[in-house]
Formats: sequence, C-alpha cells, structure tokens
Amino acid sequence: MDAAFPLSDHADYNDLIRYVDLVRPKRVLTLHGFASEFARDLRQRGVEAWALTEGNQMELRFCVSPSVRQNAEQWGRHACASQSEFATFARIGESIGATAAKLEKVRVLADYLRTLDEEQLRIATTYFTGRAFAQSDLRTLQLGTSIIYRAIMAAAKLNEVEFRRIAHSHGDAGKTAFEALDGRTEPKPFTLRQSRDFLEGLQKARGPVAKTNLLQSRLASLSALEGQYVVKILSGDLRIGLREGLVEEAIACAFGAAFDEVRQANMLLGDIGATAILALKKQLHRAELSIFRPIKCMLATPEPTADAVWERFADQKSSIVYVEDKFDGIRAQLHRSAQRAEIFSRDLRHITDQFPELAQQANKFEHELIADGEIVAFEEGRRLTFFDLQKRLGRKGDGLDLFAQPMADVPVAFVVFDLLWLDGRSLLNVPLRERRERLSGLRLPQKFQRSQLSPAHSAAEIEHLFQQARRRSNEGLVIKDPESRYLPGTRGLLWFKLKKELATLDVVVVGAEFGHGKRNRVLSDYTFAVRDDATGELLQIGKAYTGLTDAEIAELTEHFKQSTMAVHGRYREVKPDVVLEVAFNSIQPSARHASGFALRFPRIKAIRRDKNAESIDTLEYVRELAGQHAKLSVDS
Amino acid sequence: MIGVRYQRGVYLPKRDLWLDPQDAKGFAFVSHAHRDHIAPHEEIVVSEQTAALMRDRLPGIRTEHRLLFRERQIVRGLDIMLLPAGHILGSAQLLLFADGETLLYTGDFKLRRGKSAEPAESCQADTLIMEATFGLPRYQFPPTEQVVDQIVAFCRETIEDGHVPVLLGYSLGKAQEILCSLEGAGLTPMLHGSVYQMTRVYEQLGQSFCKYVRYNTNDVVGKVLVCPPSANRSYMLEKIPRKRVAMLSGWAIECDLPLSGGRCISPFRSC
Repeated sequence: MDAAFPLSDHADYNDLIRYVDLVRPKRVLTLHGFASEFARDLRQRGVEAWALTEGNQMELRFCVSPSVRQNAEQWGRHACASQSEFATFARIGESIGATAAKLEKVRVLADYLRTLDEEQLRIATTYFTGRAFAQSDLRTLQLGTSIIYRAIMAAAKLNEVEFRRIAHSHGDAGKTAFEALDGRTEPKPFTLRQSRDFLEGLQKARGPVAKTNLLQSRLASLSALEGQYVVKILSGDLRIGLREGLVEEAIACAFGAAFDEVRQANMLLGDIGATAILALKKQLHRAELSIFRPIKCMLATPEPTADAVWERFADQKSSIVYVEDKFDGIRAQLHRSAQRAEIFSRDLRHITDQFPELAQQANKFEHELIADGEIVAFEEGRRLTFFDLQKRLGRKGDGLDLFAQPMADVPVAFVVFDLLWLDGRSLLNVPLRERRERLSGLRLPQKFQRSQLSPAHSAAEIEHLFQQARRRSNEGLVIKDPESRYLPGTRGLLWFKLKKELATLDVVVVGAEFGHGKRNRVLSDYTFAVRDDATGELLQIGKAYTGLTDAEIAELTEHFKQSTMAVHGRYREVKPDVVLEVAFNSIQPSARHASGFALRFPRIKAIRRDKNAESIDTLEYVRELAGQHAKLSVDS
Repeated sequence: MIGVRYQRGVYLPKRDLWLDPQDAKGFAFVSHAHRDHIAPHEEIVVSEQTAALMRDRLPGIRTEHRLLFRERQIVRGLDIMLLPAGHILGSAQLLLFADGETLLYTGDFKLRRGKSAEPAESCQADTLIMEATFGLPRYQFPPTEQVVDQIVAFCRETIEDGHVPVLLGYSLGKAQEILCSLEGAGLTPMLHGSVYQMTRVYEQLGQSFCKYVRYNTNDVVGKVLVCPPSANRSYMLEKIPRKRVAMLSGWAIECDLPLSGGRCISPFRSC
C-alpha cells in the first residue's frame, strides 16, 4: 500500500451531529462503529441516546438469572441454546459484568460455583480472577495482542479491511472477538477441562506462529461469546468489574465459609482454585504456608513524620518500637531447603535466575527457611544506588519479555529482616520479637546481612534514627511493632514507613500516548494512576513525559503496544503492569483527574521493574501527602 | 415510544419489521445493496435502484415492494416512506408512521454530496435510529473536492513516473464515485471485473460515466486501475510489476491499529 485517501460514503462526526440537529428526535438509537461513544456524546449534549448494540449484550445477560427470565421471553426468540460448559461460564461472566452492584455480582458467582465439581471449580475460579493459571503457578502464556488479533481475524475468515473496521469500532480485544466471530464459527461443545488443556497447550507452544495457529483453530470452533471469554482470559482481565476480593467473597458465600479464612487461605496458597476446593471441603484451616510457594509480603503504612508514627503506637502497652533502615532495593523472599534455593519478588515472580550468586550462597545456610528481605546493590567501600541495581533487574529469562536484559555486573547483597519459616515450621503467627531472635541465631553466608534493628522509645528517637538513616543514604525508616504477627499482603497499622520529604509516588501506567516532534512514533506520554484501596479501582492522578531515556521509551513503547487494551486515536489504554516512580513539586486537590488530586511538575524518576500494580501507592497516601503539603506551605 | 430491539439487525417487534437484518427473514427493509445489508429474505421493502442492484448481487425469487423516494405508502399494513440516504446509489432511509409517532431509520448515510448517489434528505422524527460508524470527534473528513484533487494528483504522478496507479474501493458505490470523480481529469479508468459489473448496473439505472475500459492484463500502462480492496496482493495485481496502490476509505484518516506488535497488517501502512 502506497497511499490512502479519506474518501468515504459515510457521514463524519460533524455530519452525524448535524443530522441529529436536523431531525430533532426525542430519542436516538445508534448502530455500527462507535455507537456507544457517539450515544454518550449525544447524551452529554442533552439528547436521549442509546447504542442499540449494547442491547444485544443485554439479551445475552438476560439468559442467566431466573428473575429476569420473563424479560427474556418478552424479548422473543433469544433463548440460550448452547449447552456448552464454557458457554455457561461466559454467560455468568456477562451477567456479573451486567450489574454494578457488588452483592449481586457475588451472589451470581456464588450460585454458579455451587453447581461445579472440584475440577470445574478450580478452573472457573482461576479464570474469574483473570488468570489462565493459578497465581503461584509460574507459567505465563507469552501471548501479545497482535497474536490474539491475528488469530481472531483468521478464525473469522475476515479480510483485513473488514477486520480492521471491527477492531477499530471496539479497540478492545474481547469485544472485537465477539463481533468478528459472531455467526462466522462452527461452535462445538467446549468444557472447562478442555479449556484448561487448551490453555496449557497454548502455553507450551513455542513461537508466535504456533500459538496463532492453535488459537485460531480453537476460536473457529467456539461461539462468539465463548471466543470473547477465551480472549478475555488471554488478555489477563475479564473486565467485568470483578476483583479477586469479590471472587473470595463469592467462594465464602457459596460454601458457607468465613471471608477472612478464604482470604487468608488464598494468600497462603496463592491459588484461588485450590482455596475454593478447600472451602468446598470445609478444610480452609489446612491451607498452610509452604516452602517454595511464595506469599505476598507484609507492608508498611507510610507516615509523613516521626510524630505521626509515634502517635500510632500511643495506645501500645510496651512503649518500644523496632526501627530499621528502609533500603532502596527490591523486596525479595528467599526460600531455601537442603536441596535448593529460590528467590521471589514481591509480586511472587521467580527471580532466582537474575541473582544466581545469591542463590548459590543461600545454599550455605544451615537451615530450611523462608526469609523476607531486600536485595540491594552493595559492595564494600563503594556507594551503589537503586539505579545500579536496576541494571540487574529482569523479569523472566525469555527473550520476548520487555524486561529481559543482559545481566550487568553489579554486586548485590540480600538484607534479611524477617524470618517466616524455620525447619518445617511456619513462624507467621509468632511475634516479630521472637522471629527476630531466631533470625539473630542464624549464621549468615556471604552476601547475606541482617538488618540493623534499633529499639526506639519516643518520637525524638525515631527522628534521630531517621536523620542517621538519611546520612547513610538510605530512603528512610521502617518502624515495626515488636508484637506484630506476619500478615501476608497486608498494609496494616503494625508496620510504618517514614520516607524522604514529599519524595515520590509509585504509580501504575494506565494509558500511553504518542509523543510530539521526534517522539511522534513512540509512546512517550504516560497517564498514570494510584489505587483506591476502598474499591480497588485505579484512579488517574497525572501524566508525565520526562525523565526516561530514549532507550527506555523505546522499550516501553514495545511493551505498551503489546499490552494495549483499547485504542483512542493517539492514546492507548494499556494493561496496568508498568510501575513508575514519579517525582513532583507539589500535590493539590484537582477536578482534572479521577483521583481528585493533581501533581505539579511530575517527572519520571525510575521504572520500578520490581513492583506491580498491586504495590503502588494509594489514594489514602496521596490524600495524606496533600494534607501534609498544604500544612508545609502554610507553615513556610 | 415504538419498541426497538437489536439482533444482528434492527427489529420492531410490534410491527414484525426487520431493518437491514444480516440473516434471512420473512419481511425486511433493505436500505442499500452492500453485502452486509442484504440477505435472501422472502419479502422486502426497497428503493427501485436497490432492488436492481440487489437482483444482480443476490439473485433469487422474492417479493419486492419497490418504493419511490418521498412516496408515502401502506405496505403490509405499515405506513412508510423512503428518503434518499446519500450513501450509494439507491440507498434509502425509512420513515415509519405508527400510533401517532414517527421513526426514522437512516441505514448508512452521508450528508456530503456525492456524484453517484442521490443527495440525502432529512425530516423530523420522534425516534432516530442512525449509524455511527465514524462516531468519534476525530473523524472529520476533508472536503471531497480536496480529496479528489489528491487522488487525481496521485494518479497523474504515478503514470508520469511510469507506474500503474491502483485505486482500491468497494466495487459497489465507492468505485462508481471514483469513476465520477475522474471525469474530466484526462485519465482512463480500467475496471476490475466486479467493479465493471456493478458499473454496468449503474448505467442501466441512468448514471453516466467518463470513458472507461474493462481490465486487460496487457494494456494496463497509462490506465488507472480500479479494484475492490480484496484484489490487493491478488495474482492479478502481482503481475503488474510497477504500480502504486492507494486505498480509498474513511478509515484512511486513521494511522494506528491495535494490530501492530511487530509487523503491521494494516492496509494503511503508509499513513
């Protein structure tokens, strides 16, 4: 193709609006292309408008709940014909997506889970958390959007122009799959077990061609809705407003278990499917920490000042807190048995291969253990920073991965600050005081260090330690309750952190946009978000385009092209999996972003390859920072 | 308000009337003869021109209620009228009068005046069912004359450079619009078989075009080849070594696909 000219037989946007003005309708129903978007624009202009094709989805949803079956009958001929097990799963997904009410989502899901046998339960609950495999399963599918799109196009036997039109009208792989496949496939029954076998086969297939072929032939034998859900699972997000917490609630509700127990079990197992089966068998108590199955780490709540930290402990009987330096490295978990040693990142990824010298030294421990700590760039007599460490970070050893880089020669050390398992026994329920005692009794191999623990009895002492930590060029302090149990994945009121003054926010990129000038062809402008812990939602807080090198931008461009979920012109909605550390001058309330806050002069300090969307800063913290900053401004 | 449903086509349950259904139905309104709007229905409401085009594209026996534009009629108990939609020759909007209310269904339409389609008309209606193919603000097409000037310039430059210009556009509607646009430009269009066939039907319906020839593999030099998009990378075009291919489509305004990730499979790579 050498040229393209916009000679069209359709009305453009302005003419669509003009036409509505000419017809002066009481109600507009839109069709084709950007029906939903256009209807929304009309509503904003005060015209009642709805996309007719949304109604199509509604009919599918109506098939599920008996309470609305009457409606479905009124609607006529759209009965649920398919008996396919996977089709039922997909329809449940649709009806969960159809309601915004969390209780209703939980109820629909719970009703469904009760109808499943153990194996189906394991598979379906895993899918509902947006995963193909259990969280603790280290396999990944390595399936980019381009493979998915190519497979859909081939399965639907569409030519590029037709397919492009469909893909464009949605920009979302799942919806594109539905429209492209609708009426163009020969559906055959597909069970949940078959779907699991299929995903395993897809994972094992090597290379994009083999994966595309497998996916294409599968999609060709599924109904459009089933195909849509296979694509949703492959995209890693069902987009039906179902957080993992709601799946846990549904499991609790389905099998009469306590929500906390389900949550705890899921945390320990890292496997929602296995958790569901334990809940079904009334055996949640059997979920145990186990070596070589990483768990989420316990987190510290940020506080702006030493006084604020001390106030948190005001009601404490013992007026001693444990204080240690906060290191500028990456959180890591070491699992070591007599046979082997593995290191996991805070998002439970396997990072042993990135730090072979640590794994090797870890073999010299004299015990079976799980240790929580921080990997830092370290060498006697040399000052190394997080920036040096970054050169060592890679994700998986796979060439397809954005983060895979040749290992740089930066020496590292593992600073141990907690002990979760020792010689066959979980220490999670043992107080920190005792865990530290056991830790101090261990002989550490080379490249392993214990964090220095200082007791503090007042805010002044904490402040003093903070200054010392800063002089050692550490980020700040972590202050812990000596009596605290280890609560995996929890940011509670037992551990606190004190960081540099209004330093940075860890945010996740939710949108990427082509830049201007020489950055015209790279995705260099990033829209980012913090998390609202109350709802789990990611809320936008700003946009930054400075601070990264051209090489980093090129790398992120490739990554975001693969992780694009929706395209709006130059802007792409991307999968929230890249965490940035963003610096800024101040933080203020603002109506511009969904978070209700805006950053002044934001700039990117670093790509936090060690973090994922779950470990970013929260709206709560932003709120605190904003309050703190307002106070500082008034004071000065 | 008049009840409206959607199931691979718009459906008005109370009147048992389908509007552009994708699957064969007992009774349906067919707004125009593009492939995605026609199916072997038993009984159809159409414009004269669409009926003729449809007979050519989808032969078969069916009952046709052929209506003239702006002529209000009762068909199967329905009080209806057709208005031109400006999309391609014969493309029609349907206005339905029912229970003191009106409903206007646009089918595909455009307001810019084309050279090969009846200009669109509008009227007041209570319910408007409209296409929103380009329903995002970023879709704003430049004036048609400007686009046509660019196409003509592209063809001339390509011929001057000793290459064959190839214009890709749907064989029904777009291709005829191109033909009309090349009128007076001193270029000789050469038509792909499917384009040729549709163009002949247009002529039978009274449309006239500049001089054109049917595709002949030995005589492409100096001609402007007009082909459907499906001909791109076909054997027919492969045989022409020196050519430049242009796509004519509203989507040309786009530059990006969600399909990148390495090799771009878009037909619009040049933008």
